[in-house]
Amino acid sequence: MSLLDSLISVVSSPMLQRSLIAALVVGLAAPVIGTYLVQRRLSLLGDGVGHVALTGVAMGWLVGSWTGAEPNDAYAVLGAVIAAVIGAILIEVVRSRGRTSGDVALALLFYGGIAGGVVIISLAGGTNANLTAYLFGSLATITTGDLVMTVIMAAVIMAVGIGLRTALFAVSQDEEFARSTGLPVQVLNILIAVVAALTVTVSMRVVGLLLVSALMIVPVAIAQLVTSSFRRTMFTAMGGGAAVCVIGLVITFFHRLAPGATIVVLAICVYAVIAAVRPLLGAGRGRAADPHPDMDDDVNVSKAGAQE
Amino acid sequence: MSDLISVTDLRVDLGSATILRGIDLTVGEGEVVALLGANGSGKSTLMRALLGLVPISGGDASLFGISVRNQRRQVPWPRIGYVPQRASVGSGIPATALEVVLTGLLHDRRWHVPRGGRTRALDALASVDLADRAHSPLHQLSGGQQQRVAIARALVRAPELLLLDEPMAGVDRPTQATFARLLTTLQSEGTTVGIVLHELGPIRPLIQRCVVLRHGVVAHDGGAPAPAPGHGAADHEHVHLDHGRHEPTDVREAVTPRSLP
Ligand SMILES: Nc1ncnc2c1ncn2[C@@H]1O[C@H](COP(=O)(O)OP(=O)(O)O)[C@@H](O)[C@H]1O
Ligand SMILES: [Mg+2]
Repeated sequence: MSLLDSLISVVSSPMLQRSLIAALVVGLAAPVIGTYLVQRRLSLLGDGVGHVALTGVAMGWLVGSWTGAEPNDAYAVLGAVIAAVIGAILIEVVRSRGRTSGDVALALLFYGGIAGGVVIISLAGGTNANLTAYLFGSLATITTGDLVMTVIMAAVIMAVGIGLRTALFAVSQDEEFARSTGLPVQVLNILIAVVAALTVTVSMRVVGLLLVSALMIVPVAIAQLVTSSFRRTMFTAMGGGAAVCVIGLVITFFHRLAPGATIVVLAICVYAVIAAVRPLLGAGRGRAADPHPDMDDDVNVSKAGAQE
Repeated sequence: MSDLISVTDLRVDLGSATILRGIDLTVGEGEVVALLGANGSGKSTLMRALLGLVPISGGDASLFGISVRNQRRQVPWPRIGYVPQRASVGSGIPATALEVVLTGLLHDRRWHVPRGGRTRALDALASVDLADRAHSPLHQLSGGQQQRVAIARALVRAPELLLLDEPMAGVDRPTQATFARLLTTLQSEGTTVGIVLHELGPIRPLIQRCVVLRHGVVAHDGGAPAPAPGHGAADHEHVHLDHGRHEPTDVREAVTPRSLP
């Protein structure tokens, strides 16, 4: 079978089509909020929220088993969304208080999230194996309903993240100044936290909770290697995120690899390559102009003295 | 004449320490007031309390006649511009000078850059001699240039009340001269200015009134203190005397008669 034949068979398979569309929209949406998180030096917020979301998944499962829902993980995603939003708001509150104990509080939240998830899933009569799909992604089993949900959530994330770009940039770049302009900084901070939580749950499908943060952060890390403005960093990261998600997924159509991990490994390889070749690319750029501002000296330097 | 700033018996506590107490101050329309005092005397805290950035524990502060303490939402934020003390150097994400200045166009009711905002932001950058650096990432600018970006970010609001916290700290002389020119223009346009300074320097002629803080209370409110002979501005003296940090090179200060109480 030639490569072309296999590509055609991929495109004509509804299951693979669904997974490709999901990877594309998640790849586009995740870096949007990732850009603000990097700006705020909160790159690890996604990880924290991901851990907490696992407890939410297990809670949803528990509710499902009590109510005899079919399938029994019917409420798992809902549970993940609720837990992620609560977790993200808690992290934001701790951050804005600026307490030194915040670090420890966050650590407790992270470990509590994972441990809670494992304990609750066994209460619900499940096993750790049931959690694997959430921890490492489950693109292959995505249903049409899941896909619709994914597209809607990604659209909300992009609408908020791009639509309120200047205001969200303002609070992330200089919170003190933003407050002095009268902007409702607290509301905007919580908005970023909530949208980050949505991003975590929507990315859970593609790469799994353990790697969610990579999808939000690595494309941004790649983009900031090659851009010089916030706006371009965001849009470059979106393009890069979508590209690595789709290409990574297509690779797994031909090799038996786990999609989520493949996507993240691909993204990190791209980062490494660009970081390595960037000095070569940038060498010719902007060298001609004298970077020093044209200013008079602050001190009098004697010409004669300098020449001696 | 209406008071743009009115502070009555203000007290600010941060942590367990009382940083400001018994502050009474009014600033009328069109005044240019310098706020002087030693490091740690509470100048920045006073400015931040005025803007509602730190909690007020006693008394009150009003801007445009509206209490910052009780009616924060009603304060006319678009009419106020603020230049914080440290020019915030961007974080991991590069942002251009223009992008930073554009954030100055936002306020409580406006979360988007308005029509024509870009032009206004470019004009503001031009007014601080940075027109050619609009698209440079902030982290590639010098400290003085970043400071001017922060000033442009406040100016783009076309504020009636401009509050600047040490805008001239660590900038070179040409930047200071640019700043003095800018302040002259603002003053002639009737902008009310509150400015934290360490020494009056080239803007001395523009300053009608100086408020000096010492250990969190107002120690002087009136004309510009006369410069001590052979030394910079008189406020400089306070910096050293108040905290007993006499530098060996400044022994002269100890014998110079102090011009202020
Ligand atoms: N957030 C804070 N918590 C506790 N103390 C503070 C805080 N901010 C400032 N201070 C203290 O308040 C005093 C006044 O600070 P500040 O207003 O920055 O002085 P200035 O601007 O005059 O140099 C200093 O002693 C400083 O240590
Ligand atoms: Mg200060």
